[in-house]
Amino acid sequence: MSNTLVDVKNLSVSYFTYAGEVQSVRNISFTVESGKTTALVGESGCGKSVTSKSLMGLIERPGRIKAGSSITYNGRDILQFTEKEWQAFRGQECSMIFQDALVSLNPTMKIGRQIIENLANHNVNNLQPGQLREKAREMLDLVGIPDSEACLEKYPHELSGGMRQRVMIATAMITSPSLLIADEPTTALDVTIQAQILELMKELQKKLGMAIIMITHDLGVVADMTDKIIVMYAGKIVESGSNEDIFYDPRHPYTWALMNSVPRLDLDNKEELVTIEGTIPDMIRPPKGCAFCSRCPYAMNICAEYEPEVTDLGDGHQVACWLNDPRADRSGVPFRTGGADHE
Amino acid sequence: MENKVVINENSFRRMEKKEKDLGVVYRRSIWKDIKKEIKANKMAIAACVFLAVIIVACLLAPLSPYDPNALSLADKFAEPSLKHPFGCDEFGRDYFTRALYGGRVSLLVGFSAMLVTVFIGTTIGIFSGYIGGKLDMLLMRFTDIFLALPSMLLMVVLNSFLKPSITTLVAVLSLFSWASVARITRAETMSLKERDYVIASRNLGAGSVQIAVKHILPNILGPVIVAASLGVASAILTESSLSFLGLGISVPNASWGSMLQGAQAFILDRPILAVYPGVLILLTVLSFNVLGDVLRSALEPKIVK
Amino acid sequence: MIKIILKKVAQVMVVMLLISIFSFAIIELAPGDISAMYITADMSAEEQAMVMEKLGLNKSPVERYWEWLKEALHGNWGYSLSYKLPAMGMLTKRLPSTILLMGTSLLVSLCLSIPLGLIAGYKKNTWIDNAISGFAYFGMSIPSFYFGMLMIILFTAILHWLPSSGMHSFGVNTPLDTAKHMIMPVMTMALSSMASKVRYVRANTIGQLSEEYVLAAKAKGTSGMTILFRHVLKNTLLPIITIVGMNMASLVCGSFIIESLFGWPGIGSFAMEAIGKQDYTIIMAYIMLSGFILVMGNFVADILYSFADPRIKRGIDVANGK
Repeated sequence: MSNTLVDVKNLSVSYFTYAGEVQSVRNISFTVESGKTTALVGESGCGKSVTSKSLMGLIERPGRIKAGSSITYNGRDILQFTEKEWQAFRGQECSMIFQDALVSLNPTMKIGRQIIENLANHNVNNLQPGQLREKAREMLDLVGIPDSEACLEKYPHELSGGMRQRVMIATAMITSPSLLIADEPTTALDVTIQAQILELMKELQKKLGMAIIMITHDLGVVADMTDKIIVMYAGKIVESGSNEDIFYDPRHPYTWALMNSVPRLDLDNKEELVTIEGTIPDMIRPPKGCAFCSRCPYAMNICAEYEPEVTDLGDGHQVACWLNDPRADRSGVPFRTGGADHE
Repeated sequence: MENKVVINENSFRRMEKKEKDLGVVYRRSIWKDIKKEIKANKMAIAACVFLAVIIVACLLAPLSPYDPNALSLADKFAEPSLKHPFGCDEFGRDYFTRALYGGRVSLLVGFSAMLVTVFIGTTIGIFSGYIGGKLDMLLMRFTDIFLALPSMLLMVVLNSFLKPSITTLVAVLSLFSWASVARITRAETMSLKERDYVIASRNLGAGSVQIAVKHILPNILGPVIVAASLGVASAILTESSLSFLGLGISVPNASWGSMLQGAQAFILDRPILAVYPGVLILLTVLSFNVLGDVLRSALEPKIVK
Repeated sequence: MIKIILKKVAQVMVVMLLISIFSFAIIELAPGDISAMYITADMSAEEQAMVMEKLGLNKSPVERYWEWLKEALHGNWGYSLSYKLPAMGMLTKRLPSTILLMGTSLLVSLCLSIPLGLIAGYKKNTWIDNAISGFAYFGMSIPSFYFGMLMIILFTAILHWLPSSGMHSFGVNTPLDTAKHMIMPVMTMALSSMASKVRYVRANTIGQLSEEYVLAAKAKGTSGMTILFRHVLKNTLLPIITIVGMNMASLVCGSFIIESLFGWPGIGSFAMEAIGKQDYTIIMAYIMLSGFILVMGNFVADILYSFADPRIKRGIDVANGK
């Protein structure tokens, strides 16, 4: 059995803007297991990045984690951390990779210094500058950068996009954290480079055994990498479950649409790709019923009035959709609804 | 919560017709934005109130019972009193009345110089940006040179030769400040003319002048308003420097700057004479600067507080 | 790199040429007739013509400009009309005291404005930021000569602490005495250039702090202050180099007014006198000299900037095939 590394309970995060309170994340709960990969999937603006920033204590004004939320990491309530505790936590326990490595690296600081910075901040083994540098070089070797010695002396703009992302990974992994949060790590890259980076992350996970939270809007990216997928929409979790559950037995119209909007090579069907009409709702005044209601082709009258409750389908597969109610009108719904997973 | 719909058979029927949620639309209007921003900012309200008071007071200056230039040796250096709120200067002239008349000159010069500057700057900027090519290059090199010139210096030299009057002051001030406005408007025009609606309008047969007036001008209004507000501030400041050097409008008329020049002679004996016009310049320029900044942030697209 | 420098040098020369044409034109337009100073009514027509020729006034303005330029390039900037001494020599004699004043105020304004701007940006929208920003507003809104006058009122008229005018007390020539004379003019000059720099550093710091690399540094467990000084400082200061170059304009022009106000014996107050006396050769030489300081300031700043920013330097090297 895997043990729980992160336990998020009733997390709500809001941004207080001119226009009003933007409810980015609305009362979500999930767990992340040690050594496993969990994917947070959803369109931009669905709250997945905000969720990951909450885990790192990086929510800044005007954003605020609301009362009643709790995040437990290895049994410690991290939301009660002091600034000092946060600094010890970030980078050491939990590292983060960002979407665009070009803007996430300081343009006027050499690569070497930027990698070493992370290790030096948490210098548990009291390494000397020379040793720190050696560690950084080893790390660059590990992430597959050729001529790592020369790379230490380079500036970010002198590297290619793929190399920069490798540097980011090296920086994040140099402290051997237990949790790696990757926020759209491959979005800014070419498709071939994307595959290389994902392969690298998988390899490192095998070697170093960290848990990964993969944040993406692209289900294709996470297909053969994750153990668990959490689908978010408008600040809420609409469906979560194992890889198989989500890919082969989606129960939420949004998951289903998301799935069929990705070109797939493994299924030999000639179906057209599904597009999701409309845009995500205004998070300042979230709809009172199901947030997906206005875009859902199978929406029922109740969907506009009441939020669907979470239905547990067994084996960790959960969905929040009225279609799974026994009374629901299921005519024309192209995926399975209602009842347990494994009949 | 308000009246909840009761769950019944009908609740699980497929929805008949859905109103399309078109997402959030943020409507923007320049004047609304400005009004909102000013209302939200105490400094901005203070600046507006102060400017309104100063402008009205200067316009009403002729209501003062004193002639600003009438000598009255009996009142020489009179202390501030009910009769003379600011006291009197070395010739016994009522200092309050002189300050109001001086304000008329300073504000008139400031506003006129700003108007001329903005007019020349925007015209050249739009022209240069819209037409582009060789003409643009030529005009921009010309603008660069004006930006590189030691303007204050040349203004002083130029003013020392010209017959000092409000017109020459305005001309000299505008001559050396249109260049930065031209730069801003040119950059805006360049980006605007590639927008789809401008291209569409051109393809529909609209003439260049029509496009410039109808599509480009309204859209560069924001930066121009900001430049105008800061422009008044800098024009008043520069005018005061020129007047202080004795190169402003001629005696016995006064502006705030030339009043300071007069006060300099008695600075060690009657420092109070230097306080009034100086504070008036400071507060007026400060107000325009604050207003310029508030306008800038009002016209910036943003939603975060 | 060399290519860029050469291009900049060419630009400097063009600007200087234009400044000279411009100032020559201004003087040409001046109403007073220079010859009136030399020609008296009892001179014969021949004598008058001789004076005119000697002064070069019988030629066309273009010819005279050309001649002036040729002479100037040979280092001959003409003789002062009122002092009958070489114009450039008289100016360069007074240049050191102006440079002393300008340099000190530049240094003071940099040393004060950078930390103030950084703190204001870091503590955005707190009382510290409001105080610093308020001070910056004050600095950019007060006429510098007026600030100088207020200082004189306070420190000379009321407190009797500092001398109000000149560079030395009569008969005294010690560095301490000069320093005492310098305090007020330096502070006055520094204030106005500080205001713009504080605002600039503040805005830049705020901009840099919202960059993603700051978030990334935070995610490494780097503390806020360390981020400010290790990461943000350099990126904030790079553009300051350019601002300092542009500041040369306000210093050159500021020296003009402030030297006159404090009776500082530099080139600014000297030029002010020359304007009063309509001494054209001095004015011309002064415009060229201060124009040169100004343009050189921008030039040096540009070059320094491209050296300091790795992106630009490497970019140029790559472009040159190094």
